[in-house]
Amino acid sequence: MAKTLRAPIILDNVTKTYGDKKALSNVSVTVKENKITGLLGPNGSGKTTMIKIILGIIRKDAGKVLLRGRDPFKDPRAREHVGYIPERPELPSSMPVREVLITAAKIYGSTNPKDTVDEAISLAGLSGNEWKRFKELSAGLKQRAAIAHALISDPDILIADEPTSNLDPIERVRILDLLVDLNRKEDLTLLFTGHVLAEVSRVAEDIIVLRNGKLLFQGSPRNLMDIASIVAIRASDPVKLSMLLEERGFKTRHTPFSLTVYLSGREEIPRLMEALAVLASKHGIDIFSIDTVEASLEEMLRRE
Amino acid sequence: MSLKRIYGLLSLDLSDTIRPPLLYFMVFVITLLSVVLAYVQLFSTTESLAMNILRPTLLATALFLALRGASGISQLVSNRVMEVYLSYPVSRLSIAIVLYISRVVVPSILLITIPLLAAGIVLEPLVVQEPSNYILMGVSFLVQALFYGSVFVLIALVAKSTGTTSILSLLFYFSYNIIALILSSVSSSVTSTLFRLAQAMSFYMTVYNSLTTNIEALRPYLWEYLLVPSLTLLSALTFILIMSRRFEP
Amino acid sequence: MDKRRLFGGLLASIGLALLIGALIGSIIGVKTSLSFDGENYLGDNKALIISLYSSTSEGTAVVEIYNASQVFYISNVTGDPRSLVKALTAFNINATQSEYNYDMRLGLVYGTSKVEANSMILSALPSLSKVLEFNIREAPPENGVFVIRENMSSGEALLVFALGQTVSYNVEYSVSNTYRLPYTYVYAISGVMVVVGVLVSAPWKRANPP
Repeated sequence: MAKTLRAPIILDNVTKTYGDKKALSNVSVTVKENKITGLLGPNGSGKTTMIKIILGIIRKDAGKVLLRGRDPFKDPRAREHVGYIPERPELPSSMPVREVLITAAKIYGSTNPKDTVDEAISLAGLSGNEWKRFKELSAGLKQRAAIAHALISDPDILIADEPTSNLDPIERVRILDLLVDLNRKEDLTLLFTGHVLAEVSRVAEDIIVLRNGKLLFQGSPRNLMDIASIVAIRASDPVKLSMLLEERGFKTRHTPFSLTVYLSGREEIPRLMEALAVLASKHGIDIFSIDTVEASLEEMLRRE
Repeated sequence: MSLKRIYGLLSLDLSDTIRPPLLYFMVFVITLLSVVLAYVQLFSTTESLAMNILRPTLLATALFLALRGASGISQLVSNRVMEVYLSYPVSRLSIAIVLYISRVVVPSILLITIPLLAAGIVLEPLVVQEPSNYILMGVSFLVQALFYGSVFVLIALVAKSTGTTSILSLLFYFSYNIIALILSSVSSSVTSTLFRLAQAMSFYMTVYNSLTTNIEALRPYLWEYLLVPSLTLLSALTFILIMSRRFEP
Repeated sequence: MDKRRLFGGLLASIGLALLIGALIGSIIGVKTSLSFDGENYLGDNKALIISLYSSTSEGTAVVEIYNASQVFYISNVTGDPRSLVKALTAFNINATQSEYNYDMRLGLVYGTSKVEANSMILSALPSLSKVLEFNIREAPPENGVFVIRENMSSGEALLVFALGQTVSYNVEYSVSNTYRLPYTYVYAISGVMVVVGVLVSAPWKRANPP
């Protein structure tokens, strides 16, 4: 597939409101060209709203959006060479998937729709199932059909909204690997959403985190891990230790048997160790174990 | 914007609107109905033939437009195919026009023209005598069908759910016709404004009256000719405007 | 969209409906003639109105009246005769008994009404022509029988007023043109449509999956 250098995705102070609820609040992000960018956030954080605004499916209330250098809501040329895999994908079931893809290839302006579709079917791993109707496909094959549909646009940019939701664990890995493979082979910019940090950070080179419509973080997965350190402590009196650590400005959660400390970065670990040493000796609390753990997205967001 | 792209989108959406077997079934039923009606009655004018054939067909067309056309748009929204349409490199205005053509214009033309053609075969010796009146009556019924369809798709944009769209569309259709009937019953004479309004609410009645009456006092006024076509145009433009400027799936 | 299959399916559906419709039409299709008769005791100050209204057909009506003293008729007037009879109330000619039938297959509304009025008014019906804007004519008797023969276009009515003590009548209506294509032609056309439709949409002709 032919490639040309095109502008990436840019959001500048984008705001979107549904009634009283702010779905996106002054979000500014840039998606880097030819990189895999993961968009993270819990349900209702504004991920899908952001994706729809990027594609021009819905309007923004304020701010500026550029997709391939154009406003996607006003200028349909912005969506040329942009593939979209919606959350829980759906294609018309009135004709076989291959026919739908050929028609879609014509809409994308393909000069040779049949060849384009055959290539997309092969790349998406849909071969052998292309004559079925969309509704007859399994969840995994539906996802592959949606990927094939996204590929017929000869994409520079591929946008996937929760591409692994509703799939079993094996199929989740396969689909993500397929997207990574496409990013490498086809040199395309991939923006995908998810809510499992481990899954997204496995493949993403850049991560954007949203919470309640606000941008929490944009950077590399390593940096995200740094700010998301968690320390699990087993102690003789976790309740008292928790209270004492809170007095010293640490964010904690405790059970009768253990204590979790949420740090804003790995650089806070020495300060925590020092505090633990002082508090243990001063208040006679026995520390049995201290472990650093990788934060899940949910834990990280809970801490904020 | 390439016409090829718009045509592609039209084919894609039409494949849903006029997908068999419902379309074949509808065509079979309305053709059979019109042929039987053509055989069991005697006609000596093409306008009375068209009137008798197309009145029951119009009800079937309105049902199709409500249950497949307009609620199909709601279904596109609820099953998120609309998002796929909106992600194509096609302008919103083009998508709105394509949806209007696919969900209203094409089904109306099919369901009005086919029975007209079938009855035209049965009564070919009559139709060839006055084809212009026959076509004119067909066009008048088509305008009425487009009117219902335009209102239905407007309802679909607001309702966004297939069930609500179907119910509200049918409610509109029956209320509209009941109001026309009430206006006609309470009017004092056939020349009163109320009676004229009741007649003008069905564009084909206005056209039929203008083709059949020789009495000057009973001839339709200009506003009677303009009422339904204006409402159709207004509804269609409103649908296209909302769809292209404000609609969010 | 598989346009060929869609077109074929539509053609076959239309053809099949046309074929079945024509078969139904050959069994319960239109009628081309009707005749009915009757005898009515009227007495004084009464008249019998025999009405025919060719709502959608066109044909020839022959009305024969026996034992009448006078017969008047209104012909080639547009509109439903039931409304015309009602309009006569303005002249104190009131319908006391009416019986009408609509034969859809013949495109004809027909029936009789007994009207009551001053015998002077009834005898002078033609003089009301100007007021009513209808031409009311008197029928001349031929060997004691009044015969009215009228060609009726679609939407026209014929009203015959018979005055007398006991009046008998005989009515015949025959359709002049049904404007139908012969059944054999319709069968042939519908048969071709079905065959072509099936052939065009034949699954073995489609580009099938390997």
